[in-house]
Amino acid sequence: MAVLLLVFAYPVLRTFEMAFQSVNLTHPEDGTPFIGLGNYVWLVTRNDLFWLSLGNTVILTVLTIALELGIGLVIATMLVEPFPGLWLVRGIFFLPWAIPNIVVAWLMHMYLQPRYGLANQIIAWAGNTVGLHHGLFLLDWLGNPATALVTVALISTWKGLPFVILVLLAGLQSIPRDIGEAARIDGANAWQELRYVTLPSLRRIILVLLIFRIISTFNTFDLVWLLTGGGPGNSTRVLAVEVFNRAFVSYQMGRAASLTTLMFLFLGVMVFVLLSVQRDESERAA
Amino acid sequence: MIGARAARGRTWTPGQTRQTAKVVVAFAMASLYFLPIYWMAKSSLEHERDIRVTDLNLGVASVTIENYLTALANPQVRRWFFNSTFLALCTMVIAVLVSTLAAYSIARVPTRLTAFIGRFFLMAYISPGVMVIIPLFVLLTNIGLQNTYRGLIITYSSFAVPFGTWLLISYFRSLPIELEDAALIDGCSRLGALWRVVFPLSTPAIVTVALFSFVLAWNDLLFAIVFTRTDAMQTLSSGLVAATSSVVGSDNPAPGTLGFGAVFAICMLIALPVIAVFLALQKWLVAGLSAGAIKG
Repeated sequence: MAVLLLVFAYPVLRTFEMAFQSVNLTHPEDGTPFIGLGNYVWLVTRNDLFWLSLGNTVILTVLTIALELGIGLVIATMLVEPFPGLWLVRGIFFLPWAIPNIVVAWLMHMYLQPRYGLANQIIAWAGNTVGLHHGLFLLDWLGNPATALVTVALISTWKGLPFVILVLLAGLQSIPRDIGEAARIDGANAWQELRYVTLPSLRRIILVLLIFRIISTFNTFDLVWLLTGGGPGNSTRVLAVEVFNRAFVSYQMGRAASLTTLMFLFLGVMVFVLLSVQRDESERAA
Repeated sequence: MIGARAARGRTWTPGQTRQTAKVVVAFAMASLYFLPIYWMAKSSLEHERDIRVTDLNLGVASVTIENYLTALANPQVRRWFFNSTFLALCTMVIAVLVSTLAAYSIARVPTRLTAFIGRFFLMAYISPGVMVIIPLFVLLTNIGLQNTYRGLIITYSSFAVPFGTWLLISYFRSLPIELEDAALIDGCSRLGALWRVVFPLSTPAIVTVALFSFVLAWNDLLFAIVFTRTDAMQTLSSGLVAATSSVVGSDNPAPGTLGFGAVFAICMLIALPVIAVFLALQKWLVAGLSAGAIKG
């Protein structure tokens, strides 16, 4: 317990300390002088990469979570009631959860490779079949600054979907079957049933899910770093990659530390807001 | 099939049509979702010349286990395998032991701090790896644990234990306390009650924790890159990055000394153990997660 507290609490406190110091490992003779808010001022006013990577991170997070929740809800509702072959479909939708990010990155990198990758080959084949010129749709998914961030979001959705489906499924199964049946007997269509019966009962679970997914997507490092390294250009540079580069490529530990405190602050505020929304809901219900 | 049913004189209700449509859509989506994995598995079994083709081929062009043999014959790859397995197993054992004891004491011996500790553990789990990595790097370097197994195991445990504890607290709370009281009255010690009564009842949750901690260490990349220096300490993830680094972002990827097929084979070897365990424990996993995460 004490050891764990040390291993966990010490780094956090040390981060906050370093955030207010100038720590540059390429000039160890300078020591680590206290510079107050210097790192923050530098990040916010002198460094374009901060705003750029913050924007990219927000886009990536919003896109990924919207896709995950949308697709996840559709699939989860399909998997609630048994049908022949359910075990197979369910197994497939849980599979990527078990696949390490490094494998996902390499696999997707090859899968989306413009010439040898299967994705473009399928698109080209489909284009040919309907009579469009060959090569019209050949897209350099990850190599084109215009599409790279969206592609990363798609891949991150692919990887994150199993968890979302799993949790939604568990939630759906806990809703008593007769509520939906009652709604249907009263003449509700599928959309109305989803809107007025299923979603309200899932509200709490979706909130927890949102918190989990926002946090982990916001902090995505390895997937982005492996897929694009933040490029091409800076089109997929997200905050976590920026921290890594600052700390372990240019060795500006102090600035990297203040960047992580900003990330933590941002996440903390978001989680706090979501939790207080939840508290309001449950109070109103009670 | 529709024709056959119609011939037998059965009429289709709208419900059945909807059901059939749903099954078809479900299978179509699943196939699309599964395609990349299928492609990886297929490529890992093909000759090099059949992998690097520019025309669509969904079938298997050739079958060979050459790629797997190439990968496993490489002493480096074998070393990565050993490292990853060792680190993951150690993390798993530590995480299960520590988080069971911690969660049980928090769940059953309430103090004013209990709620706070539970929340603190959750915060510890969700806090980003990049946030703690800088000071952790400095700390481990200062106490000489950089580039050692111990350093990595401590790091992984510091993520796995909080999550495990948090999950187990809510699970233990859901168990009726009367069972343990009965065991205590019958002369069991606290630890005895934990071992004989609580443990068997919480298998799903404990399996979930074990699995999570194993996978956490097995899948990690960030810490393995930053905290290791020498070739002998590389894990499967960080080793594979080194082997394929020339690939990322290049137009005409050339995966170092290993061929495409061999890298696909290594990928399969990394993914397969995890997939196997997940599939085997799927039922328990769902039970453990839904009990802990959702009620929590």
